Amino acid sequence: MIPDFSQTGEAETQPWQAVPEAPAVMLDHVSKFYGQVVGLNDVSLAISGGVTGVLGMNGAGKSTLFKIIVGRLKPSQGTIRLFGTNPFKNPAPYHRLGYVSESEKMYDWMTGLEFVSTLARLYGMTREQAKSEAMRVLTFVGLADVVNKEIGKYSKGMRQRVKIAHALVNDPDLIILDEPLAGCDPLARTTIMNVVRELGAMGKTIIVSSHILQEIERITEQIVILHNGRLLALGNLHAIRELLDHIPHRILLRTPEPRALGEAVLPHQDVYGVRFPNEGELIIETNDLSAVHADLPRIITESGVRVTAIENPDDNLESLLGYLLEGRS
Amino acid sequence: MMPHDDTDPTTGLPRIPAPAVSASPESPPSTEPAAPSDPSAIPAVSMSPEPTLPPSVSAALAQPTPTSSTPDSSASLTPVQTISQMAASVVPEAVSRPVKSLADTVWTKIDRKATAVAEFTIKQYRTRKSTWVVGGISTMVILLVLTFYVDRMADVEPSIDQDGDGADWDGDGYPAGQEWKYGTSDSDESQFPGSPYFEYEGLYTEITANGTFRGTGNFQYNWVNTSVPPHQEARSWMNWNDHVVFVDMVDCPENNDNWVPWDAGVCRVDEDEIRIRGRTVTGNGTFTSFESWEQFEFGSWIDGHEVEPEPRSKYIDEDGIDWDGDLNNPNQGFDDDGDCLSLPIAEQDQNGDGIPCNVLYIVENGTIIDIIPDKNVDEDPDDAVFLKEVAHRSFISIFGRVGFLFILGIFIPLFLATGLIRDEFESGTLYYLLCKPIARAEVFAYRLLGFLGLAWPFLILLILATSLVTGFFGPGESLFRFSDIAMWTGVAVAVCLTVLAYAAIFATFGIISPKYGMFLSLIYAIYEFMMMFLGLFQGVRQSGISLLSVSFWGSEIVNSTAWLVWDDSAQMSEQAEAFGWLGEVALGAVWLDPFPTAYPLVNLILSVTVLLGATLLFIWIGQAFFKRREID
Repeated sequence: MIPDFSQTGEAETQPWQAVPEAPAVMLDHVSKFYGQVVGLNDVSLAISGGVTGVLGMNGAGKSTLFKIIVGRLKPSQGTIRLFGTNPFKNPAPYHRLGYVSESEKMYDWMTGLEFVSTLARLYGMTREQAKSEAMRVLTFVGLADVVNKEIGKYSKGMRQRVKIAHALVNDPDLIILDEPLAGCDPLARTTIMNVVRELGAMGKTIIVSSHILQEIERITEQIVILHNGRLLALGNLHAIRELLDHIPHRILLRTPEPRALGEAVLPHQDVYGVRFPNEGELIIETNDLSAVHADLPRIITESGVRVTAIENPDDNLESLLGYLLEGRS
Repeated sequence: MMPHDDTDPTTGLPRIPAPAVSASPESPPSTEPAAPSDPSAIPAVSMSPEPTLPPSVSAALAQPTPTSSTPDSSASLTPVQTISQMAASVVPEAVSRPVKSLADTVWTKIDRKATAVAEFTIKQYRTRKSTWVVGGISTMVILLVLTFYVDRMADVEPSIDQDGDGADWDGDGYPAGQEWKYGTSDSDESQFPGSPYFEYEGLYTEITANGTFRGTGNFQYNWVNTSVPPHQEARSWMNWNDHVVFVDMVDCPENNDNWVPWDAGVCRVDEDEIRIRGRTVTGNGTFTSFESWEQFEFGSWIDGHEVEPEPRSKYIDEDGIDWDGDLNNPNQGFDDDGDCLSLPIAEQDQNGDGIPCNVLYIVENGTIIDIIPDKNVDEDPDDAVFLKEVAHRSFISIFGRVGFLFILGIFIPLFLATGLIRDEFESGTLYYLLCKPIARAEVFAYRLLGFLGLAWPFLILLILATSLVTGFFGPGESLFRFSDIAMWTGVAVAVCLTVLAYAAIFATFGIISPKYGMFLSLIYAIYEFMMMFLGLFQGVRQSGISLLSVSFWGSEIVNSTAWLVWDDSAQMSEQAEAFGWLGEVALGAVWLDPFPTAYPLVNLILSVTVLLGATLLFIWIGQAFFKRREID
């Protein structure tokens, strides 16, 4: 018996090229158990095209979902299809996939160029092709000037961008980015988010995860919300939020004159209350967040009160999850 | 970043060409994509409808109704294509192989991936401390052993005198061999080639004559020789039959007839009469025994002449083995120094083959099983050459086996190959290699290839250096021992194949259990060491226990090569035994009998096959485990 070098699996016939019309990612009742712990619970999902954000708290199952999609993990139950094939058994769909793990681990002894071009050669590129492709993607992520520096000397944002570059080197149709913004400074975040937006604009299918709502908001409106391994919600982020309109939203303003500003805001038709929780703080309670936000700059300007900060304490994942979970119960 | 053309002007977000996120939490569980179920029963959601969507999907998405996955809300949702429907479109999979140019075939891609992974692996080794430590220690050990070897070969080997005729047993300055040739005693320092001697004429109780008297009695003389022979004068004590010394001679007591002092053996009775006991005296007179039954010898004293003592070395290694290498001719050997032919005729054919003074070679199945020499034939060959040859061959065989095969052959894969996949597991970087269009078996095989790309050149370089040193410093007429090249090639082949097999085994252990892989490998290495030591014993080898180890087959390659390259080893071993040399023990330990078959060439081919088979088996096991492993 000779080793199964092609890894074509048992009953399935696996083409070298995935079926073109198959959805990029399809999960059918996929569950993943780690012993007694549930990593992913009965998730069904199909994603094709566009930028999709996967939102969830730490431990919600985002990385498990991605690991199952890219074939690192085998689902305990259910079926996963990556371009119509089983990624755990067939490496062929990797031709069309770019995957950035949340893991910080890299080959620190390699230079950025070595890293990307070495891995590019695993797609069957020649040495020269791999090098030029690597230069192309490294330039795309804005690392052209540091390609010959060792990865160990890179900053966190640069490391993330090298990982993104390595995922782009085969010009993939589907790009999966697991927490690409984690641990990056604001400048790196902006750069990476621009890269992701640009990739989306190129027509790639992009799945990006985060536990920070604002980050996802700046990248896409399509979201999938995972909570405790379950698919909690999916759809347009703003639509989801508007669905929760009956739940009051709060806007926190920091100002030296909270009472004066409160008086100015109260007449607005959508504001039904103001509170002063602390010294120098004003909370506006509303049912229509966007309407108030639209008028707020004008009101502040007219009142002439100096405002140092405007925050949406509810505009984060925790509160969104809270609303969604309340809505279910 | 430049604003992209496709950016939606209203939202500032990129235009999404074909968004379709759908979910069907209610669709029946079906691992196998089944026939499409009733679409209306399955809720699905999608959002962000864009004008660019296909009409059918757009229609389905006309009402962007966001939802949670609450079952209650499902009734208000517009069904779209369900998971099952999507799955149905997946199978049967339309297999359409794209046309590839000849320069871009599967094989060239495999080739590119193989070099990429192997190259990467070697580069990775370069960055690890363990690589340099293992390499440095290996090199140092080899160099150390080589200095011992060179030191040993530079020693002038004292030749062994097997028949003892080079020794001067009686201390008279003449080697025994020369004394035998002259017929003088090798245990009496008064007798040596050219020495003065007593020529016996007869036994008497009383005689009056001019001559030499030897024995016990009374001597009345009118002339006597008072000088003593030079060899007697040279020493301070008296022997039996020595000449009497006239200096300081004591007087015999008056009343005691036959008393003679024991130490001097002589006393004076009168001015012209002495009494002697066990001594020799030369003169003219009457010699009378004390008793009538006590006789003395009479004869004459022959003066000596000068004979040059021969050097001892002339009697060492003077009778070499004269074997013509013809196994069909049992009659071999030749008495080079003539010490057999000088024996009485009756003693010249002690091996009973009817030919005097030869050596009988008994051959069975092309192998010499016994050698029986006649007495004093080929009894003192040049053993220094033999011993040096034995030392050289033993060194290559033992060092090739223990040094390269067992120590380096096990340790280098143990420390460098166990982590081929395991270390990547542990460091969490494995997915970089695996989430690529490359089979895991390929990754495993190419990683092994990378290990070999490092280990093989290193080991071959060490073997080459060792072979050069032993080639130049080893015994032989020529400057370089070209005959050993085949032997070292055998060692190199054995080492390469053994390292390959061990690497596959250790790396497989690392895959089977990343956590305990190193532990498993260590236990297996200890097992292999045990098998290697046991395999050096003939009995354990023949029992076949060690057949279940890589070390046995590797060592058998070296052993078989030794039998094939140095085909006179058996003869050397037998000759060493027959002629009583040292070194036969060393030979016996080094040249193990061919096993499992009696034919070295068969064993060689078998060993190579078994090692390659074991490698393939373990690669297959390793990839089978690897394929099913989740990369967390």
